[in-house]
Amino acid sequence: MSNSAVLAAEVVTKDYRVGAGTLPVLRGVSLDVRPGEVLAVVGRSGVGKSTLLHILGILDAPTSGRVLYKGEDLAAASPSRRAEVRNREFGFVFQFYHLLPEFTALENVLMPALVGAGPLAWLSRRRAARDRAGDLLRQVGLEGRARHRPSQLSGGEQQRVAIARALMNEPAILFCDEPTGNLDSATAKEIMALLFELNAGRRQTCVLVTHDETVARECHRVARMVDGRVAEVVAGRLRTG
Amino acid sequence: MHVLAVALRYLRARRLTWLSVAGVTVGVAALIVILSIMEGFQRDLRERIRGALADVVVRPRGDRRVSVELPRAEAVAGVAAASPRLSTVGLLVAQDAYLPVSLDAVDPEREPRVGKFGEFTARGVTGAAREWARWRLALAVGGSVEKSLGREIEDLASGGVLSGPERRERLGAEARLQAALERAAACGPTPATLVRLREAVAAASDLREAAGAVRAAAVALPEVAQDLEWIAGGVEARAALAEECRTRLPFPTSSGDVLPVLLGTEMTEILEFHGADFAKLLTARRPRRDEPTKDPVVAVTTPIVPVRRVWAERRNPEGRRDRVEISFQSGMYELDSGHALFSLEEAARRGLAAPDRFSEIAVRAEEGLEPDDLKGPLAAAFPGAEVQSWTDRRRSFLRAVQLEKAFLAVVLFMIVVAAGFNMLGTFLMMVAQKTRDIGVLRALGAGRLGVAGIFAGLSLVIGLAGGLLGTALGLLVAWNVNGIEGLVRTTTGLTPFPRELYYMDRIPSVVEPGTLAGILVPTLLVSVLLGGLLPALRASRLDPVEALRYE
Repeated sequence: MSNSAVLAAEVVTKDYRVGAGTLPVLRGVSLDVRPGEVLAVVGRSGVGKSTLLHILGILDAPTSGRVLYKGEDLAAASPSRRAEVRNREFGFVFQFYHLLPEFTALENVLMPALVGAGPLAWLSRRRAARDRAGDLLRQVGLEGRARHRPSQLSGGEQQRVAIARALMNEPAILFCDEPTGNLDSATAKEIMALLFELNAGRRQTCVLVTHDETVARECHRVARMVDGRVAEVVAGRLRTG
Repeated sequence: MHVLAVALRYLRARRLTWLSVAGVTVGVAALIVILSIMEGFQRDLRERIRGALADVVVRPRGDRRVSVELPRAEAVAGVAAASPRLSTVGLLVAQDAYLPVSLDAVDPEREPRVGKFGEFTARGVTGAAREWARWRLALAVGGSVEKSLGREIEDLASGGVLSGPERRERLGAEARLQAALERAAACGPTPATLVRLREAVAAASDLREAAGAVRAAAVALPEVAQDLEWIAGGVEARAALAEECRTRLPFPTSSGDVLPVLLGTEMTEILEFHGADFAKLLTARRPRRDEPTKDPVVAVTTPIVPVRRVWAERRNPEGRRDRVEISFQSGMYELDSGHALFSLEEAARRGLAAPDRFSEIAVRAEEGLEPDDLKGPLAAAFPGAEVQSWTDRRRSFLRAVQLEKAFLAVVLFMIVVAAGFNMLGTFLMMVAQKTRDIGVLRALGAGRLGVAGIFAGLSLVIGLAGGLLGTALGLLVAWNVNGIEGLVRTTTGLTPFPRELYYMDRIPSVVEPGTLAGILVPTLLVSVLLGGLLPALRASRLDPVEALRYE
């Protein structure tokens, strides 16, 4: 099973230091992410879903255990390599969108390309990057709002921009941390539809943290977390086409 | 690339950040203006001191005969000119005043070639000539208006012609005359033109120009043409005298028993204040072998008179002979009030000096040669002699001036340091406000170095902008400091720069490229190291997960 995984956590633990003692949040999690699937991670709040997502997305380092991406242990990789992987291979969508308020929608979508390029490389790549950012905004249905600032967009629109931004560098894996947690149910449905559409269209691998069981059931697989461990992994409704 | 894009966007989005630029601008501008003016003053002062002292002075031991030693000094390579001096001190006694003076017996033709006393004398003559013309023109104004006002002006002006500035001021003559002239200018076109001419003469940059203005007026105003022609002639004669003084100090060849001395303008004023038309000089010498005295020194009293030129051939309209007191103006008070020059030859003839004897040889270095570089060759030519350059002789003073400038630079630089602390506060606040955005950038793949670069870059941009704006402002002020001073003078009536006090017709200001670099490089260092380093470190140490959770 693990040889078909694009990303795998192996016996990952995470302790937080609280005063003099430690608070274990993850107590040995092993989990595979397979190419082309949407993997939902569910559990009650405080169970460590987000921490696991951060460790899988190497925003955070595990206390022990390995995070294998295409066979490479990223938990042990250098900071610059980890930053490079975050930039080139991973995309993030957060509950609170986290767009940069000083930049327009289009510029926010461009940001990953900007981060990944030096000044000289940027000059040669700029036009192509702009075109791609425009395409992405069109795909998420915001072609008319490229020049708007985040403050001029609704929550759903901001989340669409965030999804376009996450896709900018054609990531291998898209990490979504409660992407609909801050939206009304109708908008949430639209956002989920967009994510499933991406998965169907380009076989976008996706790790989705959610507390919404109905959303989770729509995915390929569902990992249920209890008390800092993955209690079970069950199949969802979605089948690889 | 995001480093640049984000830094620039933050600058654009947060206008308040530009307040930090203002602090740097003020500091840099103040440094440039003050240091340029100090540099100007310092150069001017050095030039004056150098001119008074001569580049290098040689004091040989043993036989001190001019005819022997002078050719030897002139033969040294690098010596442009040499001149013998016999230096001593004395007491000038005028009526009830006793004034200590340093005395130099010099060669009238050689001395102007090694030092600047020729130049100083020309300056003194020029200043006196300009004053003379102004008071003479006032007399002409008095003659051109109706009787009572005319007489009042003439009384005031003739007093002015006869006395120096100090007594004129005591009498309040200047102010009263100015008021009377204003009334006269309203009387008709001729007095009005004369009053304007008087101001033009005062402002003329050289005497020939002033004489030309007076001649032109003589053609336009036939009723006072004779007076004006005479004034123009007087100014031209004085201009020629000033020219002559540059190459030859104006000692008359002989004046009987009385020794003509060239005094500074301040000393002339003091003598005039004491009402002394002539004075005595008290000096000391060793007794001759045959003299019946046991004292180690003998006092010598010599009657002296300030050097003056009398134009006997041209009597003025009042029928008196017109004479010019000649004095030098170095612009250094202690020199202008306590130094006297006389001719070596004349002094020997009156028994004040032994013929052909001197105490030092003053030397001027060739163009482009540092005076200090001449010390070695001169010491070799005069074994055992004391050889001193002008900087040696005023070392502690010149150092003090230099030190003063350095301290002022340090104190003013504190403005820039304060601006650096201002930047530090602004950027620390910005890091706190932007914590979440920094986390987002980290999630998008920015490294620690990248987010640190944003804040280091911001501080660099602020430092650069402040530095460049400050340089522009500073240069604008430093280059136009006289125009600004003039503006202050005309709009407020205040005199920020009293010209008489400094003997300068303008505020000196010299902008040195080295000074600019010496201001800008530390400014950038302070901006980045003080203003930017800590915020950059703090931004780079943020944990991205923590930062994303931050609301």
